Amino acid sequence: MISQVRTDREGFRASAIDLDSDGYRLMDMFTEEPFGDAGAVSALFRRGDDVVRLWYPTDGRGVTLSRDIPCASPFERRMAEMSGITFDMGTDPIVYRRRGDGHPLQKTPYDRSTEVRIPLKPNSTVGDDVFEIPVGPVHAGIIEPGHFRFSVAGEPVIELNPSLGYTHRGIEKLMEVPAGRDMSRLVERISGDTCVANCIAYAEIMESDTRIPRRARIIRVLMAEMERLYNHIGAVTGICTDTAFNVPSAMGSGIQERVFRMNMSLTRHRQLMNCVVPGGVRRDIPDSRLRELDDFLIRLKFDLMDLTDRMMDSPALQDRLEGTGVLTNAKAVGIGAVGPIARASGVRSDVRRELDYECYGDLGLNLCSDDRGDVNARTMVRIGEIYESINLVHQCAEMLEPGETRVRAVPSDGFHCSVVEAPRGELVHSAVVRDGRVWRYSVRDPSFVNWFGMCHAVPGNVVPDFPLINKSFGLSYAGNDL
Amino acid sequence: MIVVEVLQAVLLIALAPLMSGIVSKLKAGMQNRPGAGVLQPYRDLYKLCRKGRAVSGSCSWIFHAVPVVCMASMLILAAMTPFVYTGVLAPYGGLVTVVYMFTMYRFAMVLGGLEGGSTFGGMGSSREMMMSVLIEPALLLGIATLAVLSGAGTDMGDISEAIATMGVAAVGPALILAACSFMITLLAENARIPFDNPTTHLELTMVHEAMILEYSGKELAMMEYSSMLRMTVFMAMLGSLFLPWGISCTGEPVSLVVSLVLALAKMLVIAFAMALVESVLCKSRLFKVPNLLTVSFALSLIAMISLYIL
Repeated sequence: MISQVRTDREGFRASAIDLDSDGYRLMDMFTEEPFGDAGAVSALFRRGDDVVRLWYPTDGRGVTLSRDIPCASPFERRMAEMSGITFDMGTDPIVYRRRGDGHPLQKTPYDRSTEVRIPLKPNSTVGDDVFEIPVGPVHAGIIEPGHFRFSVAGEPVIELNPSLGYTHRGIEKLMEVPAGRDMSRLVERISGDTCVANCIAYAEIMESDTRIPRRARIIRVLMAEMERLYNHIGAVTGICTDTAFNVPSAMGSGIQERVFRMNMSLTRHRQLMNCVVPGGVRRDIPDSRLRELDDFLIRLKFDLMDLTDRMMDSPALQDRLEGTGVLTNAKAVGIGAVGPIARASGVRSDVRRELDYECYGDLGLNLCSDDRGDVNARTMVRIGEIYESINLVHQCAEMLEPGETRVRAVPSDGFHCSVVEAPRGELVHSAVVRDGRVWRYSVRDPSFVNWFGMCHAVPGNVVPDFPLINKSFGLSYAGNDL
Repeated sequence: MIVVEVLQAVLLIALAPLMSGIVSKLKAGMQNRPGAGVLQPYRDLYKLCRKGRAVSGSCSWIFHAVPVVCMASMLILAAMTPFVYTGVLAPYGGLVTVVYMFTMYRFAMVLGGLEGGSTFGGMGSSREMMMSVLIEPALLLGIATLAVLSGAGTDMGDISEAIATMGVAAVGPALILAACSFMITLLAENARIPFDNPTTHLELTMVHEAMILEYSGKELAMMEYSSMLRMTVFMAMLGSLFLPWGISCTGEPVSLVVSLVLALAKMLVIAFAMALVESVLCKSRLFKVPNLLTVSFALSLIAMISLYIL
């Protein structure tokens, strides 16, 4: 249920605080350009299945919300950098886009003179025995680029500041095309391991006025759960790899590989690309493959039990995981954390249960959560969700009935928004369509808010535990930095 | 007998990469992977030797001296260690020299880690020093227990011969506890799990790898080779000091062949034990490492005390 509320600059802050105190959580903020008569700043709030878009017209000056609702701070910074809007109380100078090249989302022709090169903010902790460790953006493994600055006193970390923004590709700008054009190929590349979830969110926006065949909806959910499976198995395996727990790590990699091969057999792509499109799915799943899937899932469950038993039965591993990188419930709520990270800190929220998108309303789903908020809790939540996903894929495979899988879908003018549960958590896409053209497309990846969770979880731990905490958060750099 | 002494030192030196390859292969087998061949470390060293090097601008001559010191100290140790024959090529100084050869190696490596001027080298060096403070007494006390047990002075060849001739009589709490302590020290000293992860790519968790991060080309090959040799020397010492039965004391051809076969079998058993420990355990927290090293020290202390009170 999406409702839109228009306010003015003066009334915006009061309305936003009202929503916040009513239990609505800020999901995303974005601007529409050009500033002046057609410009606007929107804030999206959600409580359960109730989504509210609060917006006000602007001439390039915005109202600071982050003093009252702290989790608005990253959105304000992003808007300031991407669109050049200024806020009345300023924004924190942490940057997402280090290579300054103007404001990428402006509608006006690109002006080089606006180019800014913002220096890295030094850490605020200083002292005789405090050392600053710079790490990255080039890392030793094959991982995405990110620069981290640790202030340490010996081994314990006092302060951690990440500096991201090395993977900016201008996706939001590239999305501004005539509304009928299928941009799913680009959307899949927002974050390669979240391509189904991103594509479903995009397709739901394009399908705001279209009824999609039921078979297509079920196939989409099946794929989304297969995607969650391989992501979560990869994350759990990563925990074993980073603690040098070699045997389960090798087992986990083997299991993940088998999921990739099953994906290949279902959709002809190991990571399920090129499947979900606006209006349905590009490929149907034949019945012979479904029988294969059934056998596969049963075997997968047994293999996973073997893996998770080994992990839980190892005192050495439990010693590493317990109490490491605690994200308290208060902080998780404060930064508006989403997904398995939030659920591991006692936030009982899952988009799949709250919003009846695709066919999740017809499926039985248990919510996995934990209250401890440490690396162990995050791992346990993921393990629980792996079993839930297997269950959901089973249910989908049984529900499949013959039928159409694709219709034509073009969105009407106006505001559209979709919220889906990606493997990393709540993913928000929103679009403003004007005159049959996507005027503004905004993507809020779950990692965008969860990055701050990690900054809160690391201080107080020792430096060698950072890679483990980082892995337990499992954040995306590419999705964070469009 | 000088020929046998030279040959056993050469054998130890030549076997080092093979032992490293065998441990990796066993680990791979326990993980259900085929793994690289046991000769892979030789190929890696050959590859590194043909590569050029990149050197940080902040390095002094120490940076280039470190690989030489590390390798030289390990080569000397290889010549000091009885492996198949109790006579050794370099019978100088005895146990204290052995322990401080390891310390010299470690000291040189720590300097090399600091020389590069990178953050990770410094972190690795500081962690290595923290561990070495605890490894050194455990190692010294463990070997000293043997010297007292055998009553043969501090020369490694003499200790090995004395314990071998004592036969079953030598097996007692002192030997068993000292061997356990030495095994823990072996894992710690060679940067194995649970102390360090030899295969990690995570700069922030490294100890040994962080110190050699700045090395490349031939110098890296020397550092890699000396750490392989260090592991092999440790394994040979565990085999010929703590379980010396079968080692050749006379140097007769038949006894040498028997001793060689037994020595290699002991190495394989130790390699298997290492691979098993690395597969069952995971890397422990950095500040839990001292606890395990304290256990090692306590074991060797009890071993020493048990010699006098039992």
